[in-house]
Amino acid sequence: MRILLKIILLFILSTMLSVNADTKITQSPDNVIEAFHDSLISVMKNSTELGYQGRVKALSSTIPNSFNIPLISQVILGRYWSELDTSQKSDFISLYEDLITATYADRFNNFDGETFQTDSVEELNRGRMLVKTLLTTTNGETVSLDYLMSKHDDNWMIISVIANGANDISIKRGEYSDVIKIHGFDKLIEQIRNKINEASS
Amino acid sequence: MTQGLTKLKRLLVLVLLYSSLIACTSMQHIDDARVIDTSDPWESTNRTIYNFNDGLDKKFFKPIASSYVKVTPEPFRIGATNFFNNLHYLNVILNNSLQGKIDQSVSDIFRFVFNSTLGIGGLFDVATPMGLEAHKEDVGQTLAVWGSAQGPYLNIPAMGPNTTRNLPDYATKYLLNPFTYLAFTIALPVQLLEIVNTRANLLNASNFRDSAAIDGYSFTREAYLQSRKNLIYDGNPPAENFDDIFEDIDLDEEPL
Repeated sequence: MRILLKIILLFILSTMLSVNADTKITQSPDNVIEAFHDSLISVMKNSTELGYQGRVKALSSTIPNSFNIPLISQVILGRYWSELDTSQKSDFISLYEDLITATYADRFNNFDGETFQTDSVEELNRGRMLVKTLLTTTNGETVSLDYLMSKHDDNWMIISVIANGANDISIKRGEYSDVIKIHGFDKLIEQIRNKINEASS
Repeated sequence: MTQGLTKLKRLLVLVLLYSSLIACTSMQHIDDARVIDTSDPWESTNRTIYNFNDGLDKKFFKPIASSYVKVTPEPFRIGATNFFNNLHYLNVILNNSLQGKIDQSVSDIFRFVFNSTLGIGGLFDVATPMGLEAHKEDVGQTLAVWGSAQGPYLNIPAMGPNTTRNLPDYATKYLLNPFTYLAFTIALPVQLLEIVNTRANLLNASNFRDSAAIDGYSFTREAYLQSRKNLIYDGNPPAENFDDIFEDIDLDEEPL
């Protein structure tokens, strides 16, 4: 009887474990953004100790986990995306990830009591979500930061940031298209590399 | 004085005629009128003017504005900004009314009166702590609300980005500026101070553009047109517009 009970107990335990293994706990869009903001605040608070390179390192896992960089890269290059081969696409995605990381490491380089607050979450077309947040400085100035998000492999990821109504991905798309049109794709790559180097200097 | 009023009437009629012409020749559904048009048909000329303006700015305006920031205390610059914002507030009130924003118009009238009187000619913004928030309205936004299409993007020498739809705003601002009717010897230094103070207020924005932009012209154009759209929708553009850019992308297909 004891052995039977033990077998039943083991069976129940193994079933519970497999259920837990199969159950994916997906963060909601606003939780993803709040976690991203917590990372930024942490980097800002330790900005001096970390230095630029330290901030890059601290953000190097946060950025690819928060942003859907392959999708963003595809949208930014628009019609030029299909003209690239797989190697060029892969290189651009990697470079663009470095650019985002360098930009955040450069911009969020000190902490002066800034706070982030999530205002609302709105559903858009095709299941995309818009998380509206507010960045407030100690002197009361505010910047609205809205995050457009979509699901990728069951994870909500950022696909665009809208700061005070200005859609970053739209601005870059117009910019990059013009650079490719006038100077070619290689020139765009060169200029993105220059921007990354400037951020570190 | 009589001649000045006659000129005023003539200019006002011209502005209203121009605005009506723009509105009538490009009428479309109101929501469509607020769409950004980034086609930039005059890009070649615009780029030439942008490069000219950029050179002028780097050589003159930016250094002067930077020096102005160094030599003037912040309260002075805040006072100057408040003064000039208040000076142009009649244009805001006019466009509130033309857009049918009656509540906002009334609020802005009180704002203008309180800042002009209690705020000593607009130097102090006493209205905002009273709950009378500042608004930004202009003829371009009015025409958008009326259904007029944006028109081509353009760069104006020494003045920067604009659109054909917003051009009449220069006229209304000029006509509704009290300093327009004062002697040249009084108006000119005030105008020069406004130019320098405005450029000083844009130092952070231009530094941001210089650090972020790969193509300064395109960056400025896209950012300007988006800021215009934000203003037309009073800071709250429809959320759906943000993901239009993804419409032709199959999110289920991997980019690589």
